[in-house]
Amino acid sequence: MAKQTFTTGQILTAAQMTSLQQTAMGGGSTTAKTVSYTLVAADAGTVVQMNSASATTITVNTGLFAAGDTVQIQNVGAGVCTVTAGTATVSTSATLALKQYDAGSLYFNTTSAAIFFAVDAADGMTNPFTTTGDTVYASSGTTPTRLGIGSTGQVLTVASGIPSWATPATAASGLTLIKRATTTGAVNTGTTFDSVFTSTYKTYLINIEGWYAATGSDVPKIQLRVAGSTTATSYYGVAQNIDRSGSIAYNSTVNQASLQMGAAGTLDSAGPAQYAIYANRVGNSSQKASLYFTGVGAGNQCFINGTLFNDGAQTYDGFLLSAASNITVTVAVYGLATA
Amino acid sequence: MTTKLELIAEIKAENPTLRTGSDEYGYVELNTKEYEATVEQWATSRLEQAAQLAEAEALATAKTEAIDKLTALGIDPKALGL
Repeated sequence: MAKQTFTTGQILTAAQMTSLQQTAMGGGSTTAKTVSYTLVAADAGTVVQMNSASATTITVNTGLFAAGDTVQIQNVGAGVCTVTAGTATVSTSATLALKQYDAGSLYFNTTSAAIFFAVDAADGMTNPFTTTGDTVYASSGTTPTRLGIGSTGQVLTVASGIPSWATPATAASGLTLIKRATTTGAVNTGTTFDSVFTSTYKTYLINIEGWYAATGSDVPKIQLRVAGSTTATSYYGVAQNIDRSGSIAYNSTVNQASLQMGAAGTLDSAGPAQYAIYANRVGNSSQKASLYFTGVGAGNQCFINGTLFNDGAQTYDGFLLSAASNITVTVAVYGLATA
Repeated sequence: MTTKLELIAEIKAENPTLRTGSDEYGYVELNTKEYEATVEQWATSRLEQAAQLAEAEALATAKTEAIDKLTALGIDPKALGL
C-alpha cells in the first residue's frame, strides 16, 4: 500500500489495515514495470518490480519523497535494471545494477538524497570445498573458485595471476634433506637408506649424527646398495685415526666386502662417534663410487678420516651401515650440488 | 684366544634374535639364514679386529724395543726418524 496521509475523522478500513501490515512486513502492493521507469511520489511504501528482458533503469528524482520514505525495488526480468540518480543523489555500498532476482530498498534520508540497500541474489557463497585442505580464491574478479589441496612438499605460488600449488624447484646448490632416520639396536640400517641417491644430485652428504655399537669399540662399516641389493665386493680405501695423544692408527681395505670407517679399537662406548661422508659418483651414472669421510670418536676424541672407492661401476641408489654388533645410529642424507 | 666357534656361541647367547631397519621405517627380524650369516660375519669381524689390534700392539712393542736398543748403542732414534 502506498504511503497514506491520514486525516482527522478518516476511517481505517480492514483492507487498508491488511495492506499496511503487508507493507510493514516488506511486501505490499507491487507496481509491475516492463520498461524503464521514473519513480513518483505515490511509489513511497510500495514495491516497484521490473520485469524486462532488456536493460532498464529506475530513475530517482528529488522533491518527491519525504525523509524516511522507502521504495522497494525488485528485478525479476532477465535484463539488468539499474537504479539511476536523476536529480536526487543515490548512494550505495553495493551495486545499483540489479541482475535478475536482485532487489533493494531505496531509503530517503532527505527529499533529495537516498541510500540504496541492495540485496544481490548471488550474495553468500556456495560451499566450493570437496577435500580436506581445500582453499578458495577469487577468479575473474569475484567468482569464488576452489583450489584443491596440493601434494606433500608443494608450496603455494602464483601463476598467471591466480594461486596454485607447485613443487618447489630444486636448488642449484645448498643442502636439501633427503632422508633422516634412526636405527636403534639393530644389525644394520636395512632398507632405510635405499633410493636416496638419484640423478638429481652429483654430491651427497651422509651425516652420521651419532653412532653407538653394542660393542663400544666397533667401528662403522658402510656398503653401497643397488635396487635393494647390497654390494658386498670390491671395496677399497683407507681409514686413519689420530687419537688425542697423537698416536696414529689406520685400517686398510683392499678388495673387501665393506669399508671399515676407522681402525679397529679406536672408538669406545663413552660417547657417540660422528661422521660426515661426502659421496660422489653415486646415483648419477654407471661410474665407480667415490666417498671420503671425516669423523670424531667422541669417547676418546680421536680424529678419523678416510676414503672409500668401489671398483664395481654401478648406479648406486643407497647404502647400508653396520658393525660387528648391534648399532644405534641417527643418519641424515642431504643432496648437495645438483647434477 | 677365543675361537670362532666360541665367539659364535657367545654372540648367539647375547642376541637370540636380530633385526634390521629403523625407527621411522620399521624393523624386520632376520630369518634363520640371515641370522646365521650375520652371526658368522660378526664373529669373523671380531677376530679380524682382534688380529688388527694384536698386530698394532706388536708393531708398537717392536718399535719401543728398537728405540731402546738404538739408545743403548748410543744412536739417537730421532736421527733415524723413529
